[in-house]
Amino acid sequence: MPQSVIEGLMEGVGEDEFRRLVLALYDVLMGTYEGLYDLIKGFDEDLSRGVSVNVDEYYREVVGIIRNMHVDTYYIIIKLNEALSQHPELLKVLPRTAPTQSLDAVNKMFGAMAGVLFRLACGLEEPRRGALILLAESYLDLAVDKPLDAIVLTLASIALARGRRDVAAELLRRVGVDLEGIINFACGAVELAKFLEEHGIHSIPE
Amino acid sequence: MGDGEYYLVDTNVLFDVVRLVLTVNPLFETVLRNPRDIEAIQQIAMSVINKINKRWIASFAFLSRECRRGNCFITEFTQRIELPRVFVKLLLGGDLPIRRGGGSLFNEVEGLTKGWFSIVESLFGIGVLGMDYSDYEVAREIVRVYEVCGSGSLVKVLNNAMDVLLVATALNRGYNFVTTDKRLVCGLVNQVVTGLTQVPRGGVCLANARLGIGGRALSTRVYLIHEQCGSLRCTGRERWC
Repeated sequence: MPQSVIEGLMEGVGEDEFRRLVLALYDVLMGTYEGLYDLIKGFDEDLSRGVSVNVDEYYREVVGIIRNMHVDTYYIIIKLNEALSQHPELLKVLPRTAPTQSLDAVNKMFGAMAGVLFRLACGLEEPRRGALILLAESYLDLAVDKPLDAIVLTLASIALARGRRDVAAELLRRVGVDLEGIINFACGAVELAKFLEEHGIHSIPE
Repeated sequence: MGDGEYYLVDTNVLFDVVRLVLTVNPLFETVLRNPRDIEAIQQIAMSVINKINKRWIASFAFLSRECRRGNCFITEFTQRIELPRVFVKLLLGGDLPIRRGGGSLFNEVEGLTKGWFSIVESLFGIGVLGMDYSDYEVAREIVRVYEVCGSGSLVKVLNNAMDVLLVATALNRGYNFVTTDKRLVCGLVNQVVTGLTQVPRGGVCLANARLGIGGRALSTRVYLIHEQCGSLRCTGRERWC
C-alpha cells in the first residue's frame, strides 16, 4: 500500500502525535519489506551467478532486519497504545478494516497457500518438491508469526531451486529444520488427505 | 524444544494437519484446472479461507518441525478407541458415505482406522505407546487429587477419563504432551497444570504438568495449540477443582 494511501486513510484522524506514529509504523514495515526484498534478490543473483555465498552473512542480515522491525514496531505500538488510552475517541475515527483484510484473514490466506503448495509439491520430483515444500513452510511460519524462520526458509527454497542443496542445508541448520523431515511430513499429510478423499471424506468436523 | 525430546500427541492435533490439506483441495483443483481464471481462484480462495481455522495451521507448523525423528507417539487407547470413534462420527455425520454390501459397519470402521494409522506410522514416523500399570497408577493419582476437591470435581475428572489417561501417560514417561483440548488443560489448571503462558508466536500456549506420586515428582510440558493462544484464559468455571 503506498504511503499516500495511508496518509489519505489517516486524514481526519485527530491528534498529530497519533497520525505521526501510524505513519512511522508504516515506514518501519515498508523499510523491512524493502530490506528483505533486496536481500532475497541479492541472494538469488549470487546463486544464479555461481559466486560463493556466505551463509553466515545472509543469516546475520536477516536476523538484523527482523530484530530491528520487532524493536521499532514494539516501541511504536507502545506509544500508539499510550496515545489511544489518552484519546480513546481516536478508535472511533480510525478507518475500519474489512473482514477479508484482517490479520486473521491474511494468516489464513498464508495457510491456504501453504496447503495448495504442499499438494502441488508432493506430485513433483526433487529438487522442485523440496523447494516448493520449503516455500510452503515459509508461508506457515508467516501465518504463525515466525518471520525469521519464514525468511530463512524462503532463502533455502531458492537455494534448492538453484541446485545448491549445500547452501539450503546450511541455512536450515540455523533454524533447526531437517529438510528430509519436513518433506516427509508434508507429503505424509497429503497422502493421508488423499487416503480419506478416496474413501469419500472431504472434511473432518471439529 | 531440543534433540532427544519426545511428544505424546493428542489425536485432534493429527487431524488438524489433515483438515488443512483437505480444506484447500477445491482451491488446489481450481488453480490446476484454470490457472488464468483469477476471478474463480479469488472466489474459491475466499471460501477456503472462511473455512480454515488458524489452529490447523499452528498444528501443522508445530508437528512438521517436531515430529521428525520417530519422537512422536500416540497411545494404544488413541489408536484403538479414539480413531474408530472419529470414523464413526464421520459416518453418522454423513461425511463418510456408507457402502452397502461392503461387510459390517464395524469392519468398515476398523479398515479405515488401520489404513489411516498405517499411513501415519509409515510416513510421519509416529509410533504407538503401549500403556502399562504405572500409567494407570499415575492416572489414579490424578483422580485422587480431584476426589479431595469434592464429588462435583470427581465427576468432571471421570467424565474425561480417557484424556486424563493421556496426561498421566505423558507425565509417567516424561514426554511432552501436545493437545488442542483447552477444556482438558483448563480443567486441570491449579492442581496438575500450572504456569499456563502465552508463547508470543506460533499459536501455541505452554504450560507445566506436575504430580507427586509415591515420593516421585513427575513433571512434563504441555503444549496447547489453540486459536485463542496469545489471549487465552482459563475461567474459574472451566477448572475442575
